[in-house]
Amino acid sequence: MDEVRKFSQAYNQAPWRKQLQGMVIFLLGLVAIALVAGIYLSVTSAAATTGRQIQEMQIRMDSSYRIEQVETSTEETNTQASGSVQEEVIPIEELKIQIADLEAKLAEETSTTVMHDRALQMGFVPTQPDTVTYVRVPESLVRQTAHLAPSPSPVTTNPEILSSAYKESLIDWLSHQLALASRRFQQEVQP
Amino acid sequence: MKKELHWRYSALAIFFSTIAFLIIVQIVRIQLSPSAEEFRKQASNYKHSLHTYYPKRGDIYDRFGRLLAGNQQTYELAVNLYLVKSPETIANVVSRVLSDHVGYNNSEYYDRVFRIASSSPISGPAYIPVANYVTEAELSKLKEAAQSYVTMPVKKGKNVIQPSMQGLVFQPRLQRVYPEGELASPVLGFVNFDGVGVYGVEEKFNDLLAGKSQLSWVSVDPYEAGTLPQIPDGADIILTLDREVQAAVERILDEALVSSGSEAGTVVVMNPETGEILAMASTPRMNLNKFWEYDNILNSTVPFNRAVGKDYEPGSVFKVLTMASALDSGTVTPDTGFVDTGQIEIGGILINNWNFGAWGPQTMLGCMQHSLNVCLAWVAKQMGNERFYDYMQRFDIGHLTGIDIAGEVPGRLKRPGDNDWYEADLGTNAFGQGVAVTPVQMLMAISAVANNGKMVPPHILQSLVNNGRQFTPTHPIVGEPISAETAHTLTDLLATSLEGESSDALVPGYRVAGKTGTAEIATPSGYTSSVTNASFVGWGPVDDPKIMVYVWLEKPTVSPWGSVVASPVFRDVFKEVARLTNLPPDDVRHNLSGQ
Repeated sequence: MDEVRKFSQAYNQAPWRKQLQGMVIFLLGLVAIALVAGIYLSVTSAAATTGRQIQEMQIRMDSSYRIEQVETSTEETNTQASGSVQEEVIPIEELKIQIADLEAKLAEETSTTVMHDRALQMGFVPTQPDTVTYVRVPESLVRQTAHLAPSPSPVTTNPEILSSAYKESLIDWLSHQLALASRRFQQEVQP
Repeated sequence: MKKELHWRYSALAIFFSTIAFLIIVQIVRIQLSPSAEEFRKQASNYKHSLHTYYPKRGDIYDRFGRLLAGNQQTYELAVNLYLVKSPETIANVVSRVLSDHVGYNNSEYYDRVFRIASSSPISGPAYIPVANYVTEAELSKLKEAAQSYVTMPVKKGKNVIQPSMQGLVFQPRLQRVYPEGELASPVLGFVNFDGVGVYGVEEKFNDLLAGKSQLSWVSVDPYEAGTLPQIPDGADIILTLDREVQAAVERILDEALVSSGSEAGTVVVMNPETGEILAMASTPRMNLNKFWEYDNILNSTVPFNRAVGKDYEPGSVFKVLTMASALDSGTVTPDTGFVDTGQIEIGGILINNWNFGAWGPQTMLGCMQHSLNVCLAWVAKQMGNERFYDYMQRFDIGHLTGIDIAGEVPGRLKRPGDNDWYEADLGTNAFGQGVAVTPVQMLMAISAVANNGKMVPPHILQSLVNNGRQFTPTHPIVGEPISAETAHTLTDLLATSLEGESSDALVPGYRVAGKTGTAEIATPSGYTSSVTNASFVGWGPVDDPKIMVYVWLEKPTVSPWGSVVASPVFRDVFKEVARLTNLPPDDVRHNLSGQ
């Protein structure tokens, strides 16, 4: 027992111990600062990267394509250093252009002339008034005209689309759970 | 030993602390120095980039949502002056590839591109467009050429410029496209190279269809992402036109022009209950995707859309309005008798029938059936100036209908009190001479007869889609120039009239009402009966009119008479429209409604 006490006393009184203590505290502080700085850098770089990605998804930041470097730049974009292929980011602005272009192409493919020719090729013939038979179909709908968007009347959105977990605080959640539990309890005790 | 070490440690600590302190002081000093503001200003120059937003021009659809006018991807070609190495190569290749492109197929184009590519970026903008609406195929050719210069062996030597297309850049852009080509071209109009709607719906609704391009500074700071200006696209427009009906009507009109030898023609199909235009065909038509050929197809004397842009003396179709006025005012009844002696004198001039014959005792049915000018002039005379022109005012003759298509003309109706009105005009106006109207004006006026006395506004706009909402305007009736009873009486009279003469306008299975018109065309030497405007206006089924058709053939050569050349066109159009709109024949309809 005395041996242990002596060792403890010697340890406590050792001169290098105080120096080590100081150094450890200093290093701990340094580590703490480095951690905070690291987290800060990580968060800000992530925010900057995301911000840049958002910007590139919105518009082409360098405005135009170089005619000479199209092939090269596409390859560069598609193939990363690791060899994996990444999809090229097309800004929303250009996607809108492509969508409009595809809509027009689709309309051309289904235009009156094209459809008429295709129908004839497939052996269809235009109906004649004397070959048409009209029948009454109860509750059938008359062909409706185009309705491409909702009318301007107020539209109620479903408030349950966004989970309440994303909106309520911890205290709100606790009080909500308590209210639910008490209601369940009341229901159980009632005959 | 301990003290010595302690001193050294202290010295090191002081040294490093001093350095750290000095660094902090320097940081603060730089931040607060007068030059700092200058540096901040310089930095702010690179914080934003200039970006032009081009909103999509609104689409145009037919009544069932089929695209009539949309947008396709083309490219804007430009030079980035900071990157240009060989202006000559760029000018050479661009002018060669775009040699077939309208607007760039001229000898000056090479010089223009060369001048732009050779200019200095210091004195102006670095990005300068050299071509617009470049197609995918043209761009591919340019890319191939550019690639060939990249792989070309490097030339060595002083003052040798390596051919290169570096500096040529492109951006995707939208250009108006009409998937149906010629279909409904007089109604749609087109969008010119400046992005402005010309003629038709494109012009009428240009402000709504065209969003406004906007130049704005975009922050390159990634922390400011998501703050881009929201430029709304142009509004989409849904027309009352039915693509299938339009195509069928255009086909029938084209066939009629050939079979009648007419110079030009117009056919308009309208729902007389609502005023919705289902089809509007007129000649000439043009492929709207080649709008630059406009000058070759239409000269200054030819209107883009005859249905709204050209007025003419309609002839006997106008008698519908004269008779409607007379019946409504109580001047005559269907059984009122009239002895046709072959001529009548009004205002000092003698008015004759179309065949210069005397038709003897007639009722009003006979007058309309045989289209007797003398009888109708007498009817107008019985009404008197004031009453006749009051009714014409109620029918809105001589005024714009307000149809939502650009280029409408008002026509002309001279009235008592006008400098150029004479007493004789009452007689000639009664049978549609000396008065100028457009087909849509006639449709609007006569819609009162087909629609229980209520006159509907002809219109082409069904709905508007803007900011994600669809707006459907209401179109209240324009007026009630005649009573419902008069409308029914006249409709029945005209239907009986067609049936009585076994008109070519009769449609098997449907009871229709209508009137032919043959108007002599005024020439510098006076009216000539050999050159006419042949017309027909008709509607049906008479017990519940859903289809109203106006036919106008200009200068037919096979026969000058509307009853010969225009009536069959009405019949064919009505039959086709009834089929395409699922309108059953009268007996079937009555049977179905009785079930």
